[in-house]
Amino acid sequence: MIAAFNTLLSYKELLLNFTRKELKVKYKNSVLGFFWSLLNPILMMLVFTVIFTIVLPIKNIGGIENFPLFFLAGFLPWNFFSATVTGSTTSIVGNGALVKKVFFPRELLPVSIGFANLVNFALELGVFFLFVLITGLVSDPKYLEFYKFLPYLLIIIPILFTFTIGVSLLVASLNVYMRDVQHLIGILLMVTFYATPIIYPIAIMEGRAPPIYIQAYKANPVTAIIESFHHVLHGVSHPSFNLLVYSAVVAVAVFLVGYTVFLRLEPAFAEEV
Amino acid sequence: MAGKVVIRVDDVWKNFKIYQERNLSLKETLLRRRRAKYEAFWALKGVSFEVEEGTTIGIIGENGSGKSSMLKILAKILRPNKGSIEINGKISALLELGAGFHPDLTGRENTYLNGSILGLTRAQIDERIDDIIAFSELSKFIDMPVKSYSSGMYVRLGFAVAINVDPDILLVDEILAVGDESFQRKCLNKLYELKEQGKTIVVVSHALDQVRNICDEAIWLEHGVMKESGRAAQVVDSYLEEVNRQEESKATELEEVEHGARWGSGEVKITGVRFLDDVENERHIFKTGERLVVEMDYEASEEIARPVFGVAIHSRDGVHITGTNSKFSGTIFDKIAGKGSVRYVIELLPLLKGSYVVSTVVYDFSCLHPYDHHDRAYMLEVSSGELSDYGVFHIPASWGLHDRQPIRELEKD
Ligand SMILES: Nc1ncnc2c1ncn2[C@@H]1O[C@H](COP(=O)(O)OP(=O)(O)OP(=O)(O)O)[C@@H](O)[C@H]1O
Ligand SMILES: [Mg+2]
Repeated sequence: MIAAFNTLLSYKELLLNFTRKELKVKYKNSVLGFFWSLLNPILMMLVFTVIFTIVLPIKNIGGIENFPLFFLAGFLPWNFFSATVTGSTTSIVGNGALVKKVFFPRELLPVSIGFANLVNFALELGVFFLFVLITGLVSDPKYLEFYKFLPYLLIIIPILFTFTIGVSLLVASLNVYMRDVQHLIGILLMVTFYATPIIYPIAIMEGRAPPIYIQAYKANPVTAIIESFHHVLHGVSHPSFNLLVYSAVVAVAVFLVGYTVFLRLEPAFAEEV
Repeated sequence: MAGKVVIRVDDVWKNFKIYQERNLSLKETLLRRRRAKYEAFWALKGVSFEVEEGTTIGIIGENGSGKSSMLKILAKILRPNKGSIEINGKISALLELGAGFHPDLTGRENTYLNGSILGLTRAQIDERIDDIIAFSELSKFIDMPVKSYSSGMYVRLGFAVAINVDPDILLVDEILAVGDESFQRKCLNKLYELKEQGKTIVVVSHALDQVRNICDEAIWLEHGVMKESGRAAQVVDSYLEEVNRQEESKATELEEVEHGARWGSGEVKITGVRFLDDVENERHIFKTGERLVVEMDYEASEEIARPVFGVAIHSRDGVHITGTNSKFSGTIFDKIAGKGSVRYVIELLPLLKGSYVVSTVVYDFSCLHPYDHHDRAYMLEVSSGELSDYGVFHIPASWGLHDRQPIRELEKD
C-alpha cells in the first residue's frame, strides 16, 4: 500500500494531466461550458423547491427556514460523490485500449475523475457562497457569520473525497469482472439519494420509523458527511465532532478496503477488460 | 559483443482465461457462488532469453504465437503466471500508436497527454513538442481535434510522440507497417538512428525482410514456445523454411482449384504438369537460385510432327515475365505419339520472392494452331532465400570497387 502511494506520487504529473483531460473533455464543444454543471444543481433546487412549496406544501419541514440553501448544501457534495462514483465505475473498462497497451498505475483513472469532479465541486461551492450572500442574508442575519465556519470544509471535504475515492476504486475494479456493477451502481445511487437527508432534513425521520431503522439510516456514512455539510453551510454552525470522527473513520476504512481490492485485482486488468 | 544484459526473461509462462460465457451476470455469480467457467490457455510456455545492451532483437512467429503477449509482459502490462523478468533501463512500449488519444482533444493536447502517459514530464514535452510536430509532419493540423484526423495521421502523431520518449529500451509491436510509404521509411530511419545510438530495441514484426535487416538477433515463437533463437538471418530462414513446408502441403490441395482457362484442338493434350526440384521432388515453393524443372505429361491421340511446347510465367499482378518455347530455344521435336513427357529446365531460378502463375502450352510448328493451352493454370511460389533484392528478377552480378584514374588524366591520353 505504501509502495503504491509512492508510485502514485511519482505519477502526479500524469494524474494532473488525466484530471485536466477530464475537465477539458467535459467542457469542450459546449458554449456554456462550466455553466452546464451549475445548471444541474440549480434546476434540481428549483424543482424541489416548487414541489415542497407549491405542489406538496409542507409547513416548516423539520425546521428548515431556507429550503433552497438547505437543498444545495446537501446536494452539491452528493453530486460530487455520485458523479465520481458513476464516472469511475466505467473508468477502467472504458479506457480498455489504454489499459491494454500502456503501463501506468491504473488507479490514476478513477482518482483523476475524483479530482476533476473536485474542481467542479469547488467552483459550484464558490457560486453557492454568492447565492448565500444574496438570498441568505435577506432571510436571516445569522448568515453574516457564514464565513466563520467555512474552514471546517477543509476537514469535511477531504473526508468526503477519501470516502468517495474508496468507493470509486472498489466499483471501478469490480466492474472489470462483472459489468453488472455499472447498472447496479446506478440503482444504488438513486436509492441512496432518497435515503440520505438531501431533500428533507434528518429530523423528519424521528418518530416516523422504528428506532432501528433510524440507527441504520444514520450509520450511512453519506448521511453523516452530508449532515456535516448541512451544519456548516445551512445551519451556520460547528459540525458535530462525533459525526466528523465517525465519518472520517469510515472514510479511511472504506478507502483502505477499496484500494486493497483494487490493487489485488489490478494485475489482471489488461487481460480482463 | 559481451555487453551488459538489460533484459532477462527467465522461464516465463502466461495463461489467459478463455471464458465459455463472458460477462456472467451478477445474479448467476451470486446464485452459483463462483466465477464464470473458463479454460486456461497457455499463450507462453517457458520462454527464456536475454538481451544485451544495444542489441536489436526481433520476435517472429505466426499469428497467435504469443509475440504481443511477450512484449506486454516486458512492458509490465501483463504479469507472467510463472517465471520472472528483469529489466534494466527506462522502457518505452510502442504497442499501439495513439492508444491514449482522446478524439475531442487537439493534436497538441493529446501530445501532452500521451507524452505524460509514456512517462515524460511537462517540461520534457515542452522541450520536444517542436520535434514531435515536425516529425509527424502535422503542423497544419496540430491544433485540430484528433477525431478529424485520418487513421494514418493519428498513427503518425502517435509514433512521433512515442519515438521522442527517448527510452533506453524500445518495444515495438507491428507498427512499422502503418502510415504511408514515406512515413514508414522515416520510422525505419528513426529506428536505425536509435540503434546507432546504442538503444536496445525489441521488434515484433511479420515483415521478415525488415527483421533480417534491422535485427541482430531474433526469437521464433511457436504456440508460446521458443522454437529457435540466434542470429536474425538464421532464425528468419528457419522460420521461412517451416512456413514453406506448411504452405507446400496446403498448395497441393489448392493447385487444381486455381486452374485458369484452357483451349486447343486436342490432338495433343497436356495431361499433367509438375514442378520438380534438383532431387526430383515435386514442390510448389522454390527459392531464388534453385533448379526448377517444369515437367509436362502429354498424350497425343495421333502422330504429331514437330510440336512446339511452351512455358510462360506471369506475376500475380498480371505482368508477363517471360514466355518461351522449344522452337525459340532451337529444340525441334521431330514427332511425338502416345504418352510421354517434356521437361523445361531452369538451372538457376532468377525469380525473386513472390507468387507467380505458369502457363503450359503445346502448339503446332507455326505456333498459330493450339493443340492444348493451359493459360495461367499453375501456381508457383518463390521465397527469396538468402537474397534481399527487390523486384521480380534477380540478375546475377557482382559488386566491386574500381579505382578509376581522375577523369582529366584520362582525357589527356
Ligand atoms: N486478453 C486475452 N484473453 C484471452 N486470450 C488472449 C488474450 N490476449 C491474447 N490471448 C491469446 O494468446 C495467444 C497469443 O496472443 P498474442 O497476441 O501474443 O499473439 P501474437 O503472436 O502477437 O499474434 P499476432 O501475430 O496475430 O499479433 C492468442 O491465442 C490469443 O488468443
Ligand atoms: Mg501481436
